Amino acid sequence: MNPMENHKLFALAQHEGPTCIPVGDVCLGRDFVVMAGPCSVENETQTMETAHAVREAGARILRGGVFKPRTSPYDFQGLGMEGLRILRKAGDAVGLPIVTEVVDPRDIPWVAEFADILQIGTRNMQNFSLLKEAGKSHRPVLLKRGMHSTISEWLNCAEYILAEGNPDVILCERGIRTFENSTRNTLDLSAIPNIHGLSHLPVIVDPSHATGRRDLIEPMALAALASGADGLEIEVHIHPEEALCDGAQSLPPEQFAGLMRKLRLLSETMNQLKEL
Amino acid sequence: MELNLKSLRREIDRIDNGILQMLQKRLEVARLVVRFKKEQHQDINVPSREQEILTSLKSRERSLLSADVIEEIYKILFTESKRLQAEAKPLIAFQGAHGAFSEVAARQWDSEITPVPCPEFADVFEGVVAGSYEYGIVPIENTVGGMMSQVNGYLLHSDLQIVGAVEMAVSHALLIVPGTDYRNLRRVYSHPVALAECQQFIQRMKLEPYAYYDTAGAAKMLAETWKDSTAVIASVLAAKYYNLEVLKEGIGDVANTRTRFVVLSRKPLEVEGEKCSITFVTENKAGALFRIMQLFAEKNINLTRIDSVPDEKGNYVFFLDFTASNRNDDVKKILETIEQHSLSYRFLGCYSEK
Repeated sequence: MNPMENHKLFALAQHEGPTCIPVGDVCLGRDFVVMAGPCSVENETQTMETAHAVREAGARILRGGVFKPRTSPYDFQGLGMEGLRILRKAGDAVGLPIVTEVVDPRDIPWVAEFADILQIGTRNMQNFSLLKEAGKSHRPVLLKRGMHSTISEWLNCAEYILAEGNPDVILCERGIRTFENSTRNTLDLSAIPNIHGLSHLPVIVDPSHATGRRDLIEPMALAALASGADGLEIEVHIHPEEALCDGAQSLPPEQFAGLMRKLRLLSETMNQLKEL
Repeated sequence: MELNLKSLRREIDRIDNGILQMLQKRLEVARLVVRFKKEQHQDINVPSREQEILTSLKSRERSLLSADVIEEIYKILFTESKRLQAEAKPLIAFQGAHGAFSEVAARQWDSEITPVPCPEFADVFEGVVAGSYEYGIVPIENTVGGMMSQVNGYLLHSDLQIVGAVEMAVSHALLIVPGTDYRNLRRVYSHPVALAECQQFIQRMKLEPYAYYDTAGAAKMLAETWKDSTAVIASVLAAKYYNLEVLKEGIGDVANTRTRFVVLSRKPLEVEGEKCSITFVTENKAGALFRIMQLFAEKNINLTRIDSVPDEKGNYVFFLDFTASNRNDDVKKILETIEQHSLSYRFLGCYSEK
């Protein structure tokens, strides 16, 4: 990386130790935080049941999409503001902060009124007007890696948010496009230690979008923790086969609970490794 | 207006909103008539008056509206008005339009009672004194603005008794015309106090604040005008009255703004209360107030409110609330002492607080 990069706000040298972003009763960057919930908020029952299930299993933040950037304009586009109110209600009911994606700069002040974290999706990683608007918000921003972006491009997008005065950026590796077509994307786990060597910002991993396959989520989630990730974002649906979006990569609650148990065991081992 | 099914249906919805408000208003006014019918020893059923109304309405120039339809609609209204008059359930007056926070408090005090709106606080006091309403409910103090001087002034000069009190968190909500795109919102109307209490929210949303005489009145105005790009700050109850959409609840900058309301009546409460309110004027000399407060301290009685306002003669009128019953012997003695040593004194009531 260019030595000039050391002067940017994301750079390791600009912050004493890793950044700790408080959300609810956890601190992203210090605690290993799992965000889970449906790809899309479909209705109140589905969202409420999923919220209870992920909370029970140990998730600390509830995710849910209400503004959906879909490949086709004819696919389900999300419930919008109504969905956001449902997500907030579900979050309040189980006592979890909520994270949701924003796609339109005009929505940011409104979404920030309801959501605890604003997510910027892979397709919008380099949507600079959206980044600048998010940088003016008082909410932490979860910035997903563009599916065809380098780490340097990604960090520079984080810089857009930081430069507007919002110090709370969480990076999220979600796989990149490669030659391989047996998975939806190729998960770049090396990005985690790579970024930890360049930036003080927390990095989490989204194994759901990275693989697009339910059977690969657990091994990739465990590998992410072993690689030093600060957390995970995982899609969970009470009835994945009925999901309006991304059903094939959504975990049913019982599988998610099983994964959470394994993550706890691995986390203890990782803590022991750190002391060696 | 462009004529298409969607816009016409929207117009019908808007008109229905208005009809519902007017029906409600008509029944309320009809209900108020009962007091005068009783005073003049009139029967509730006065066919001559009904005939007079019908004749007048049917004589108006009309286009689509037929005389038969007018008669049918009004027969239903007359029957319902008479039923309400015969039933004569107790009324509680509040200042503001339907959906005002005072009405929310009235419902909290007694969910069965019928709240009736009044334009001014003076109307609430006068209406209870005159016997049009069994009760009145008024805000007396809140955590942001302190005491409501106008209401306390009326309280001082009336003979009404406090028979209840409600302390309530005032939760402001942002209301819009259903289906409005929140991204197009530019203006927000509300009472200046509500606008001040939501100032940070209004700034974050980059809205332009406009003062209106009343929170619920602003909601009523929005329901009548159906302006796009306009929101109001009022109660969730107001949204229910005027068919508005609650875009967000709890938009106040301070999480827990509390307001205390008192319920007024001509007669004191018959059952024993646990909180009392008094007002008195002490002599303008050192230690006068202290000696009164000492009486309560000696008997270990907690004071919950002390306010003072200057009166016309340049003396200070004190408002004092304490948690004890006026049937308690210690309290009786204290109150006698205060009365003897004050230039003026009034017992406002003993009641329980919700």
